[in-house]
Amino acid sequence: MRRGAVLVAVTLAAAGCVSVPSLWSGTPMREQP
Amino acid sequence: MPELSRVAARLRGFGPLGILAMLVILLVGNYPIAPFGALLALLWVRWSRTAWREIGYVQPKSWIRDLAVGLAFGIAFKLLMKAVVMPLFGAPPVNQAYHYVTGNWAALPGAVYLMIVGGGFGEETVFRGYLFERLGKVFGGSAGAKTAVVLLSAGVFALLHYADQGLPGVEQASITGLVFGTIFAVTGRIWIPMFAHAAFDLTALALIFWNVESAAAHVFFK
Repeated sequence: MRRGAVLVAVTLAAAGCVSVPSLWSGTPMREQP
Repeated sequence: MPELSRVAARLRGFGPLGILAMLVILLVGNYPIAPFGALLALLWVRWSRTAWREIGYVQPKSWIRDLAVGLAFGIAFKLLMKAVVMPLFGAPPVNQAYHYVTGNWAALPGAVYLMIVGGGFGEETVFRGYLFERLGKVFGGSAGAKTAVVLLSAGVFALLHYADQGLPGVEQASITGLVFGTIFAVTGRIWIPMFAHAAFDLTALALIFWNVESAAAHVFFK
């Protein structure tokens, strides 16, 4: 149960980071042309 | 006080509050500014009444030694990746995501900040310290469990490099995630991976700034 919840959370977080560039990779500094 | 204890226990647990905290810390990242996710992870440690040693924040025997080992390892590791490993993966010699930094003095302070605070401190605190604590709690401390934690954390760490650096970024972060994760799993201390990560990123930045990425990538493979 606990493992399942954690794995779902980790998977969701990874999917979010991949699909939303402004999270880990998208600070204003990294967006400079 | 009993109420605060209940909140702490729920933050440490894996019910709705614990899972929500995990999602927020992993997802918020450097938004709106580095190292926001890592600061939330430190707040989680405090509010959940988790011991600092659980996330690898352990007093080192010598700060100078850890700093020296981390810097030397991080610099050597980056040069090895650039000159040998990434060319073998067929990666382009120039990292387009950061090419704007080449010769760009105005961009340099922000980039240096991002490498040290966002990369070294932030990513190591979240993807080694915090995530290893969380995954360790559910997988346990056996050798097999630790291996699973290293693999899983490196997988997430790799994927979040896709958005800005594409497939080569994922390949490189898979290897760095496995290496930094293994060091952390074996030592239980965050400082060497943290210093090494910052040195790795700063070496990459130096190669980019002085426009010697391509030369470095062709040292062994013409």
